[in-house]
Amino acid sequence: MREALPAHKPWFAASLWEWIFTTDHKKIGIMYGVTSTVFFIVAGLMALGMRLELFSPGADYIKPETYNWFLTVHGAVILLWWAIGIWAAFANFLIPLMIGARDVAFPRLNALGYWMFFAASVIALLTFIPGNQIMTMWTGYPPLASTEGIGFAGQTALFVFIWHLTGFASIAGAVNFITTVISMRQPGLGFFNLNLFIHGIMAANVIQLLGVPSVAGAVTMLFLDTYLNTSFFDPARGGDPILYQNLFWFYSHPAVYVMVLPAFGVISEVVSALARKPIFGYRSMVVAIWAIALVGFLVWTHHMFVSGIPDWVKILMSYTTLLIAVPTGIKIFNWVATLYKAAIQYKTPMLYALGAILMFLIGGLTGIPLGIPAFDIAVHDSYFVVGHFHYVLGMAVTLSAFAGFFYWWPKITGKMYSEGLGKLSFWIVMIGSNLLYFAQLIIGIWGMPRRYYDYPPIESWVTLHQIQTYGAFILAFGILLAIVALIKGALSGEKAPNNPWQSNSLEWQLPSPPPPHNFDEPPKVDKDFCPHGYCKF
Amino acid sequence: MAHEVAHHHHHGEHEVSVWPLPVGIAILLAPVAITAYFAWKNPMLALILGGMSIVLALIGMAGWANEFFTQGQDEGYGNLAIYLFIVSEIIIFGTVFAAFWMARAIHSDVWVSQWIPEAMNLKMPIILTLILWASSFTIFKAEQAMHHGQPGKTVMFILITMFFGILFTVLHVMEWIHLWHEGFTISSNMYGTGFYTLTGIHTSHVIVGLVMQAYVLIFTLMGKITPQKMTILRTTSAYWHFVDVMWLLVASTAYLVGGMKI
Amino acid sequence: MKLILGLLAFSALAIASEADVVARPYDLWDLMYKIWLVISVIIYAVVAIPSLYFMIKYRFKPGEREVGDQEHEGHWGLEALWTIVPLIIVLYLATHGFAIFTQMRKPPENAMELKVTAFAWGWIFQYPNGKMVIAQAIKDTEDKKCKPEECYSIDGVFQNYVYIPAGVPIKAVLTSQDVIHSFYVQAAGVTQDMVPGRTTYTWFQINKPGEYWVFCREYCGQWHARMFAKLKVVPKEEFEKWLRGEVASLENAQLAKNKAQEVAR
Repeated sequence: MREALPAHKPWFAASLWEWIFTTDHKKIGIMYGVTSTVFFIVAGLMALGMRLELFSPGADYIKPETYNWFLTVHGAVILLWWAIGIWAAFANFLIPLMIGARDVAFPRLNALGYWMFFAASVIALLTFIPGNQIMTMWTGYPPLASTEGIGFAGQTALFVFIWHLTGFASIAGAVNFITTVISMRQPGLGFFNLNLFIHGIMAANVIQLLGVPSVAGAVTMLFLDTYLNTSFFDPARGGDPILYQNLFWFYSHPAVYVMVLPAFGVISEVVSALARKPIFGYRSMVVAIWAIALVGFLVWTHHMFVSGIPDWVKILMSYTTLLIAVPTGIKIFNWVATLYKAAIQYKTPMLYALGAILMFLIGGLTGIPLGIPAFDIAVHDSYFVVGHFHYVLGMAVTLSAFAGFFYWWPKITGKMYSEGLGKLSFWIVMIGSNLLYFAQLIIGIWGMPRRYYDYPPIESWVTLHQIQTYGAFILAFGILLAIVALIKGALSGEKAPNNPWQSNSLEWQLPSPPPPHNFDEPPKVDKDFCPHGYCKF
Repeated sequence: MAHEVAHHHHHGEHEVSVWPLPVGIAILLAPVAITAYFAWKNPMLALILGGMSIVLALIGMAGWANEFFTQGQDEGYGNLAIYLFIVSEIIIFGTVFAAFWMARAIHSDVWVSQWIPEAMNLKMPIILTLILWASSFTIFKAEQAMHHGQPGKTVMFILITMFFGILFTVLHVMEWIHLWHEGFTISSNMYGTGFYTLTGIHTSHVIVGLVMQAYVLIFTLMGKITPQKMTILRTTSAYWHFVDVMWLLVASTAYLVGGMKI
Repeated sequence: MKLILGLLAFSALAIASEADVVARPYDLWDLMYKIWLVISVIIYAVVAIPSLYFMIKYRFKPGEREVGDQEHEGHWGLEALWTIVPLIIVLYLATHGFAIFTQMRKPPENAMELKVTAFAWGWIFQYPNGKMVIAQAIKDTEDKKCKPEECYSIDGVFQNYVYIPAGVPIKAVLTSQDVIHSFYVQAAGVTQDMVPGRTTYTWFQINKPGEYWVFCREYCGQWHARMFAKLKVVPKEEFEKWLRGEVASLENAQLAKNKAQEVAR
C-alpha cells in the first residue's frame, strides 16, 4: 500500500500520566493484556498449589477451605480474566488497526471499561484478605452460596461483584466494538472480507451482549437471597435453586464461545499467514463462526443433565449440543485443507497455532459425549469434564493466545521475540499440558469426582494424580519460558520489519511499532481487498 | 455501510482524558460500600465509601460530559450503541420475568390462595401507566423541538417529562410502603420477591432515565446541545421509550399475572 | 453407512454379553462409551494423519517452495462433504444416545426403593422397612490431619457401609436437607443431583457381592471431598437377615461408638 512512512515516535513512548489517563485503544489493549497475564499467572500458581495437595491422598499441606478458595479463584480468574480478558487485549489493540480506524467509537467508554475490569481485579484481590475468601466455586450455586453457615461458601458478596464488574466491562466493550466495526470500517471492507479475527471477536461480543445480562441477573438474585432474604432460590417460599443454574448457564455456556471464537480467529490469521496461502473456505469459516454463536444459546442444559430437569429437555438439548460439532468441524477441516500445498514456515506462532488445532480437536471430541445424557450420567462433575474443558481452555485458548502474542509481538513492540526460546517453550507446554490433561480424562472415566481436595487412596488414582502434578509443573515451566522469550525479545530482540509475515491485513501496513495516531491517512481499501488474500473464491 | 473516518486528531499526540478513571473508581467503591454494609456489617465504612463513590461519579460524569461537548465530535455512534445496550437491558429484565413466571406457574395453587395480599389492586398501576405514557409523548416532543431548532421548547418538554418521571417514582415508592405495611414484603414468598424485584429494577431504570434527562436539560440550557449535536438527546429519548415499554410488561406481570386469582 | 452398520453390529455384540455384567446400567453406559471412543479415534485419525502429512510435505523451502498454492482457497464440494458427514455422525450419536438413555432411566418394576437424603456432609439411607443408616464425612480436626487410610475409617474400621442386596435393582429416591448434593454410584455409572425441595431418582443394580464407592459429585462446601459411602453388596438372603436386624453390623456399631465419643468431647 504505502511505500514509506515518515518517522514517528512509537505508540508506547508516553509519560506515566499519558498512560494512566489514556483513551488510546493500543495502550488500553496493553493494559488489559498485562492485567490479564498477571492474573493468569496468579491463577496458575494457585493451580500448582492444588496439584501439590493432590499429589498424594490425605490431608497434606492446605486446609479444605484454602483448597476450595484456590479452586474458586482459579476458575473465576482463568475464565473471566484470562480466557475472556485476554481477547479484550487483542481486540483493543488490533481491531481499529484492522479496519483502518483511528480508535474505537467511544474511546473514553473504552478506558472506563478497562477501569471496571481493573475494579473487578481489586475485588478479586480483596478475597485474599483472611475472612473474605470465596469458596463458592466459580459457578456459585445456591443454596450453598446463598446460605450463611452451611458448607462454608465464604464471602458471597465479593463473588457477586466480581461477576457484576467484569460483566459491566464486557457489556461496555461489546457495545463499543460492535458499534466500531459497524460504523467505522474503511469503505471497501464488507462482511465477507473482514479478518476472521474480527468475525471471531464480533460474534463473541454479540454473545456478551445477550448473555452477560443473564448471569448478572442470576448473581443479583443470589445477592438478594443472601443478604435481603428474598426467596428466589428457596423452595420453601416458592423459589427454585435450579432457576439459578438455568440463568447461569444461559450465559456461561455461550461464554465458552466468547473464549474460543476469538481463538479461532487468531488461529486463522496465523495459519493463513505462515502457511503462506489463503485460508481454505473463508465463507464457510465466517458462517461457521456465526452459527456457533447462534446455536451456542440453545444448549445450556447439558450442564444440568443430572440436576433434576425433565428427561425430554435433556434429549432436546442433547441434539442441539451435538449440532455445534458441525460448524466446529468445518473450521477444523478448513484449517487442515489450508495446509494442503502450503509453504509452511515453522515459526513459533505457527507451532502454537497448529498445536492449538490438534489439541482443540481432543477438546471437541471429549465434549461430544458430555452432550449425550447416556454418557454424561456417569462422568458428570468428574475429572473427565475437567480434562475436557482444560483441553479447550487450557490448551486451545491458551495456545492461541500465545500464538497471538508471538505473531503480533513484532508489531506491538517493534522487536522480534526470541525464536529459539519460543519454540522450546511450545514443546515443553505441549508435553506438560498433555500429561496433565490427558491424565484428567482417564481418571475421570474411572470416576474421580471434581472439586475434591482429597481422594481415597485407590492405587491407580494416586498414580494418575502424580502424573498430573508432574505435568502441571512442566507446563508451568513452559509458560515461564514463553514469557521469557517474549520479554527478552522486547528488551533485546532484533528490530522487527513492518510486515515480517507478509500479510495483507491492514495492521501490517503500519510501521512496527505503530505511531500513536495509527494511520497518517485512512488506508484505501479496494472492493476485492482480502486481509490475507483469502477472500477470492 | 462505513462512514468516512473523522480525522480531527493531531498526528503523533497521545489521546488522554482524565474522566474515565474517577468514574471507574466510583464504580469500584460502590460494590465495596455494599459489601461493607451487608457482609462486613460496618455501616460507617459503607457510608464513607458510598459517599465517595457518589461524589466521584458526579464529578467524573460532569467532567466527562463537559469534555465531550467542548472537544469531542458528535459522530452519532450513540444512536446505534443505545439500542445495543437496550438489548442487554431486556435480557436483565428477562431473568426476573423468568423467575416470576416459573414460580407463578409451578405454585399457582398456594400463590392464589395465600400469597396475594388484600391491598393489591389495579388502581395504582393504571395511574402509573398513564403517567409514563404521557412522559413518552413529552420526550418525543422534546426531541422533535430540538430537531426543528427550538431549544426553548425542548427545555420545557424535558422539564415536563422529568416531572412525570419523578411523580411516577414517588407514587411507586408510596405504593411499596403501603403494601409493605400490609405485610407483603420482599421476603414473604416468591410473589413478594418477584413483585419488589421487578418493580424495583424498573424504578432504578426510571431513575437512570431521569439522570440522563437532567444531563440533557443542563446541557441544553448551556446551549451545547444543538440540532447538529443532539445524539445524547436522541439516546436519552430512546432509553426512556424503552423504560416506558418495559413498564407495560412489568406492570402486567407484577399486578395482572401476579394479582389474578386464577 | 458402512460405519453405522458396523456400529450396530458392534452394539449387538455388546448387548449379547449382558449375562455377566457386574452392574447396571453401567453395561449401557459402557456401550455408549465404546461407540464414542471408536468414532472419536477414527475422527482424530482422519484429521491428524493428513494434517501431519501436509505439515511435513508442504514445508517452506527457500528457493523451492516459498509461497503456498494460491488457487486452493475453497471447494464447495469438499466443504459440503465435511458439513454433511459430521452432521450424520452427530445425529446418529444423539439418536442412539437417546435410545440408550431412555433404557437407562427406566427402573425395573421390581426395584427396591431406597430413600436417600443428603445433608452437609453425608447421607441418610432409609430402607423400605424404615431402617436407617447414616453415612457421614470424616473431617480433619485442628490438631489432627488424617493420613490417607484414616480419612475413611476410624480406629482401623472402615466407615459408612450401606448394605445392598446383590442382583436386586435399587431405585434411589433422592432429596436434600440443605444445599445441593449429588449421588454417584461408581460401579453403576450413575450420577444424580440431590436438590432441596425436589425429589429426583436414579436406579442401579449390582450383581457381584463386594464393596463399591459412592461419592458426592456436586460441590457442597468444606468437606465435599470426604462425602462418601461404601455400598456393601451381599447376597440377598444375608441382606434380608441384616434388614430384619438379625445380624448386627459391626461397622455401624463402631460408628455409633465414635459418635458418642465425639459428642462427649
